[in-house]
Amino acid sequence: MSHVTIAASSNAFVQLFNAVRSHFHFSKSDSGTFGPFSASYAIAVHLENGSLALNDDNTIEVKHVKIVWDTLKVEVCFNLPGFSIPSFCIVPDPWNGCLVGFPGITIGGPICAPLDLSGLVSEVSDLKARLVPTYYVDPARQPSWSDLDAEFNGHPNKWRIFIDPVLVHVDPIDVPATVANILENLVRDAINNMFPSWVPGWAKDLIWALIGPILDLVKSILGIVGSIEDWLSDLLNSVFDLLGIIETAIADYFAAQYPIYEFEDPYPVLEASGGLIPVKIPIRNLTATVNSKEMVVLADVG
Amino acid sequence: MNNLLDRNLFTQIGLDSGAVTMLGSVVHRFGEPGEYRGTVRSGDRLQATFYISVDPTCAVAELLIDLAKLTAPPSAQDDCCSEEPGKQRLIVHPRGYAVFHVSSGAGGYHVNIRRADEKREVRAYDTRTLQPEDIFAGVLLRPGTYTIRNLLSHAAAEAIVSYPVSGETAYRPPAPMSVEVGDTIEPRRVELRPAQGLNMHVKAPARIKIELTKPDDGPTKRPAAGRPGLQRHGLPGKKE
Repeated sequence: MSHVTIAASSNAFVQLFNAVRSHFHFSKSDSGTFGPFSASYAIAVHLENGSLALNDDNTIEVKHVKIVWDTLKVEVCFNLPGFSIPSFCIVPDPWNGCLVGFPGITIGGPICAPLDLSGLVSEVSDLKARLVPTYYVDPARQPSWSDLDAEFNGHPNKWRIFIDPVLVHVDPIDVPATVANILENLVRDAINNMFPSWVPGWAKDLIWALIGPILDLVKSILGIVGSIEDWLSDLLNSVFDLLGIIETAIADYFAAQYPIYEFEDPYPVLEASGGLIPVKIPIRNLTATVNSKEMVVLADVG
Repeated sequence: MNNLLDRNLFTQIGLDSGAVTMLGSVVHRFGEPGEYRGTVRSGDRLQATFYISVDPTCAVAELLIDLAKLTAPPSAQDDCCSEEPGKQRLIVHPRGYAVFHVSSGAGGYHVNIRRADEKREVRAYDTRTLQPEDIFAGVLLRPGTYTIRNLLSHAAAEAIVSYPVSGETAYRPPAPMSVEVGDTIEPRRVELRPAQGLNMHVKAPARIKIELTKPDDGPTKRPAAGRPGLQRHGLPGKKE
């Protein structure tokens, strides 16, 4: 039989979990080149809400945790070959089409469309975990220190109990259909901004006529078959693997970065007073489990 | 885009077969086999020299001669390892066509070609005087009314370039129009869409000059460049 038993009701456990969840913040940026275009992203997320259930099979299940994308910026860059003055045939060849042609003139260049999707919300639809106790030795603790020295210097060893996810499922980012209009406007602005001041109005009108509908052009250049929102969703979720990155970040955070509960070892029983040193008891063989009603932590003294 | 948007395309209005620019090319057939030496000049200034082998054993029917590259400094030329940069040897079939064109820059070149063996009975060819069977091919971008003139015969015609209109699909110029230039120019009037090609087939010695006489600046109030009815949309719950 264990010497020490600590229990936290399911309500208390929810409060502990909420504190851990609210402390989660993650940010990252990256870029890549994908044939006809390059893209980069910058993200920053935090977690909100969610429902938690303790199960009798010693598992914790969390559902519907909101992933709030405080920053979700994507920049797509590509070369615009649309301003092409097409070649034409000068001397036709009755057998092979054209014997002599007027050389075409391409007048394009690189443009970038910075999409800001910050404020979107997605969801951790399911997270299953078990409790895992780990023993933490403070790296700032000197090898020659006793447990009392470590406490006096503020670097005691600790028992930490983590929520160790065995499954994290994040729903894909649902990119709204309005992103197509946003992208269209951004590309139009980018093209307009790149016209030197000397370009006359008739030349701009000619170039716009040659470019045609912007979304058709963008789809053609980027090789988009379906909708812009589906393409962007695939770029973020699969190509950049933001789903996997967020799932890994959440799993790593809960499993190793922020414990749901921790306490010193040796555990202080009586404070130092009257010239006497504090009384502390060493904790060994710590286990942490849950059932449908509570979290139970068992340990031995010795 | 600035580096690829050549200012000359939109500021050089009009064409001159004796001063080739990006929007006009001279097409010439040599006919006689042999070795030829050509020079590229801008005004009276010699800019580049090149050699052409007109060889009946070769199958080259179209020889594109980029005068901009020929006149570029040696470091800017593709032929990095030629013994004498700027003096390049080109080859074409006697019944093939040499196309003198300018890929970038202000241009304004004319070309003089004579046989290397300097046969007195064979006259030198100069693009300032186009010969029968030559073709001067050009593109008019700027909307408006132009006169087409043969400066050697004083023949004239009119070309009208319509104003570009954005549609539901990207605009592509229709097939090129053809005119015949000699003692007269036929037809006397051509209607072109913007950037539509114009092939001018030379029937008698000619120097073809096309000049803008009446610009068309389009509708007074231009519609927005985008599709009608397009509005900016923000993401749900997000202030733009």
